[in-house]
This record gives sequence, structure tokens and C-alpha cells, in this order.
Amino acid sequence: MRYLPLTANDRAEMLAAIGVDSIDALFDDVPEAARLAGPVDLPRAMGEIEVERLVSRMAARNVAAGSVPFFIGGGIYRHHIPAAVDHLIQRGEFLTSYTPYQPEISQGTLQCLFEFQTQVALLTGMEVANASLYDGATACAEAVMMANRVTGRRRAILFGGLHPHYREVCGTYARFVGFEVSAEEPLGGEDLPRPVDRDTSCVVVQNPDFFGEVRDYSGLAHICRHAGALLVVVVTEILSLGAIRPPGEMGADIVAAEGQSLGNALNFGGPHVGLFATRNKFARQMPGRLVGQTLDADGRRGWVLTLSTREQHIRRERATSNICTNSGLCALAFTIHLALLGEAAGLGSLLGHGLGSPTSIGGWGAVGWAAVSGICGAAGLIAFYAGFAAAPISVVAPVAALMSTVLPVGIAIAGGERLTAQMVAGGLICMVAIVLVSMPATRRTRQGQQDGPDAGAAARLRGLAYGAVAGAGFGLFFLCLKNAGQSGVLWPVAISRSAGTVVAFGIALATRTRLPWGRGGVTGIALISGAIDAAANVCYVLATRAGLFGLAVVITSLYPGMTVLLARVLLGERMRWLQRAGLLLAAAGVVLVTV
Amino acid sequence: MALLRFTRDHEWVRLDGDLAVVGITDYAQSQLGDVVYVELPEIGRRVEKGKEAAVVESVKAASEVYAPVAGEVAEVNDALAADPAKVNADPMGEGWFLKLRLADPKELDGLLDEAAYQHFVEEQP
Repeated sequence: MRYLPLTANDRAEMLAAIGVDSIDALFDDVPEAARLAGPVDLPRAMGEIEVERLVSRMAARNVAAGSVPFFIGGGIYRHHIPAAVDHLIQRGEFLTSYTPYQPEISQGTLQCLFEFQTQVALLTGMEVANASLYDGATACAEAVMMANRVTGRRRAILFGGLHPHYREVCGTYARFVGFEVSAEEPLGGEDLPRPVDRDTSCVVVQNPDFFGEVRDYSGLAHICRHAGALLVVVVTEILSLGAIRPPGEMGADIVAAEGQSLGNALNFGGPHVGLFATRNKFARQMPGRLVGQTLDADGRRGWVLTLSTREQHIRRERATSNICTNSGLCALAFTIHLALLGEAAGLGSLLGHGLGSPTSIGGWGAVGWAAVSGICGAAGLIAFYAGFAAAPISVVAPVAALMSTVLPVGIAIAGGERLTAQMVAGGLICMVAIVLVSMPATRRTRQGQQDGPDAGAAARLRGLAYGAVAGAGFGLFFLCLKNAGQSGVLWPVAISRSAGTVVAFGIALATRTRLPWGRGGVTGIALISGAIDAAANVCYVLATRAGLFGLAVVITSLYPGMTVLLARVLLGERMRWLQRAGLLLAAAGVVLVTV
Repeated sequence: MALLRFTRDHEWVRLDGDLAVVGITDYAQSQLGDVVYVELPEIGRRVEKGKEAAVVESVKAASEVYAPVAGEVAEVNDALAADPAKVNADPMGEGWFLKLRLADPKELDGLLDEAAYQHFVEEQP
């Protein structure tokens, strides 16, 4: 169909075809009184140039949001959008493509949505995310309705710090779908756990809340679980998740968020992109479109719409939502922007911001933990090498290794971390292994007997002390770094290592130790080992974020085993039978704690 | 031989003591194709004759499973959560859905017996 006006000839032809002599004759059935007598009072027709000037004059009366400081967004703010985002989303393949019902011709669209879902799940710390909803507010209302389905209850508690627009959208749905929302005090200071009872389907909270306060909902998650209710965490500013602990780690069951700040313009308040993520076990009760990865007939990777039976084009009455689409183009803009930032670069830019405002990187507390971990680590290293110089290595190394494991694991268990019997057995075997592989490769000297028994005993006692101090330093390093790592990965390691370096340099300068510049490449090797060690610290923080702290420490502490193995392979050093036994024990222990 | 009855919605019901075991027929599973998910009611729920009692989802479609008779859900086949393919492999045996405590045992009399159901299936297009 062409969007062109009809000519007088067209009209005459059509009227002749239906046997009517004028257009007015078609309106004979409408009473005279109800018909328009004359033309509507509109300005006379204008030419193109006139219209352009008129509209430009009107447009000039607007104040563009981007041209002035802007405070009235209520969660929607102008952010920089890389030029690549607009350029890519305007490609015809993306811009004009519609619902990817036919996967065989929609692989590009589906792959982008799959990557979007992956990013949302990673950001929110949840297991599964859908391909987006309309915006954060509808995502929030959908989360409440999903909680009603999962729990079979119909009363949601909306936290006072929830965005007022989100509250209104929930209220509208409640009125027409038929459920109850009970709103708490609008100032957000209420005692949330109090009203959670056996009729509550969910508690909806926001982080950071509408007043900007960053909160920890772990305790509330526990109370909700106990009452059989779900915890819905709303995030109106998705950029915050690059800096603060994601809702998934606090025990959220559903995360509903607004993704506008990544890649999307203000758009006069919409369209935006609603993010929705939950746990795997609730996937079938989830609203919205879901893209899955699969294999085609030839075993190649491909993408399809999955679990479509939740959607209304398959089951109209029983669908999980009346929304059977997604914010495709806005989701694409989000994905492109986030992919351009990349994980490391994104965190790097956060570190830049973060040093200016510690609250945005987890608070001064987290900075403190990272700094203390670095200082403890440096103190441990100094004691370790001082011990090597002043006492038998065969005492210092195993004592340090044992201490560095026992101390943090003991604290973790005292702090309530629960390990299975198998993990405990594996952990104990690992500790024995750590001591065995830390025994030095050289045979024990007869130094003690030559100097007399008293001197030998004194040296061993010194070794015990140095080893214990070194081990305590390493152990506290693990513990503090883990605490700092709750709110990020790269920057805690960066702060930790900076603090350790400053302390070590300070001591070196204060004691006037000469730097070994240019002596046999010592500096170069030290720099490389530092870089590798920092990378290892990053892996360690990732491990503590992914699993149990106690396990991460025990397995990390097996590092002397790797040194012994590398020495055997690269340097051809011979292993003593004790070390071989230690390595075997270590392998057995690791299998026990991880399987 | 326990009493076995069928519905025109392709459910079967077998009397087992004072409980009625409910599942879908071999014809139903062959029409659905590979079953990927089964949603079962909670224990204690009262279901009405002819109203939805469970949902069976295959790679092709999601269908409601209707209660052949009224009653209270006494037991559900939790094994189907881990292995819904049992519905395809053994629809009349291990692939059962739920057990109902009958509200009115006479309701069974109004259902099809095996021969009548076979005849009904043969008439299907």
C-alpha cells in the first residue's frame, strides 16, 4: 500500500464501482445534526519551507536535556553513548528485523539477544535472564506477578525506597490483574522484616534505593526464604552493579532493573529496556522471551527461542505474561555499549571513579580490607625470607604453609561457613600435603650437631617464630582480600598490592637496603613474578566470589606443590619421596574437596 | 485386575485401593512427541472432574491434563521432574502423573472402558 493521497479520478472510479454518485451519499445514514457543517478551523496549508521554519521555531523553545545540568530524570539520566552504538543499531539487519520466530533466518538477532541475556545474568549475579521487557517499572510489576505464581500467594510488600513510578505501575497491575500490594513508609527507613508473613508472595526492595542509599539485603533474603516469600531486588541504575555487590550474591530470587544508562538515550522517558533475571529453578515461571543456545542437525552452535510454552503465542490464557515481545533494539544498544566497555575496561574506569568516591566501590571498609591485606601479605613475605636467612628452611616453610591455611579456614568455619565431612577430610589431607611439599629439596645439613645441640634448638625455635609470623601474614592476606573482594575483583587486588608495595619500599628505604638494579636481571625477574602473582590474586578473588572461602584458601595454599612440580619439569630438580607423597596427597585432597 | 478407565481427553485412570492413579494414554504421548516438562499439582489440592490437574509440555506444545474424576490430590509422581521422558517410555506405568482420593467412586462408571477407548482412538483423524 502506498501512502499517497487519491486523485479525483481515483475517487470517481471507486464511487462508480459501488454505484454511489458522491462521497456525501455514503454518510446518508448519519443524521444531519451530527455532521460537520463547515471546514474545521485550521491554519491554511503551508509550503515545505514555511512548515520547516515554523516547527524549528517551536523546537527552539525546548531546552534539550543534554545542554544543561539535568536533575529531574527520576532514574533516567543522560549518559555518554559511544558513536559505535548508534551506528551499529541502525544497520538494516537490526533496525528493521522483527520477532525472530524463524530461527533459521534470525541467527544474528538471536545471538545478540543471547549475549544480552548473558551480560544481564553476569551483572545481576543471577542464573538466567530474559531477552528484556519494556522498562524497569514493567519488569518490577512482572516480577511481582511471577512471585505470585511461584508462591501461590497474592500479597506483595513494596519497600518505601522503591521508585514511586515503579510503585504506581505495580499498583495499576494489581488493580486489574487482581492482587494486593502493601506499600511501606515512603522514606525507606522501615523495619522491612516485620511485615513478612506466610501470606507474603514477595518483598520488593531497591538497591541503591530511590534516595541513593546502598543497602545489604542478605538478612532480608534469609527472612523471606524462611517465610516462603521471594525477594525481588529492583535496580534503577544498572551502572551501579559495576561497583556494588550484585543482588544475586545477596540472595535475590528475582532482579528487575532498568538498562537505559547503557547505550540508550533519554527518549523522552521511553522506550527503554527492562532487565529481568532470576534463578534457574524459576525459569518456567519467568515472563518474556528467552533465547537459548543449541546445536543444529550438523552439530554446529546455533540459537533459538526457548521455553516458548510460557508465552502467549503458544498458550494464550496460561501465558506467564501478556508481554510477548522484548525491547529488541534498546537491548542491542545495551549489549553493544557493554561489550565496548569490556569487563576489564569497565572495571578500570570504575577504579578511576572509585578512588574519588569510595562509597561507589564498596565503601572505605572495602578499601581498608584491601590495604590491610596488602600490608599483611608484605609482612608475611618479609618474615618468610628473613626466616630462610636465619633458620632452617625445613622448619620455616612448612610452618608458614600450615599457618597460612589453618588461620583463615579456622576463621571461616568459626564464622559459619559450612563444609561437608568430605570437604573437611579433603582439607585435612591437603594440609598434610602442604607441609610435606614445603620441605626443602636439599638434604638436611648436620649444622645443628656441629654447632652443638643448643644452637640447633635455638635455630629451630627461630624458624618456628618466623614461619608462624609469615604464615599469619599470608593467612590474613587471604582473609582480608576475600573481604575486600565482595564488592569487586580488580580494584581490591590493585589496592592490596599497592599497599604492600608501599610498605615494602618504605622498609627498604628506612633500612637503607641497596636496590639490586641491574644485578643479573634480578629486577626484571622480580617484575615478572609480581605481574604473575597479581594475576594469581585476581584468580583467587574470583574463586572466593564463586565458592566457599575455606576451599579457595586450601587449594590456593597448595602452591608450593606447583613450585616443586615446575622445578622438576623446568629445572630438572630431583624430588624427595616426601615431596612426591605430598603431591599425591594434594591431588587426592583436591579431588575430595571439589568433587 | 484393577479397574481401568479412559477419557475422551486421552487420560487414563486406574483404581489402586482407595486411590485413583491418573496418567495420559499411549496415544496422547505419541501425539505430543518428546515430553520435556511436567507440572504437577500440590498435594492436598482438590480437583474437579474435567478441570485442569496438571500440565504436560512437549517439544511441540503444552497441554493441560484434566482430572478424569473429582478428588483430592494424594500423591504426585515426583520422578517426572527429573525424567519427564518416562511419560513417553511408559505412559501407563512409570509415567503416571498423580493419585487422587476419590470424591465419588461412581464417577468412574461414566468413563470409557479399554475397548471403547480403543474404538474412540481409531476414529480419530
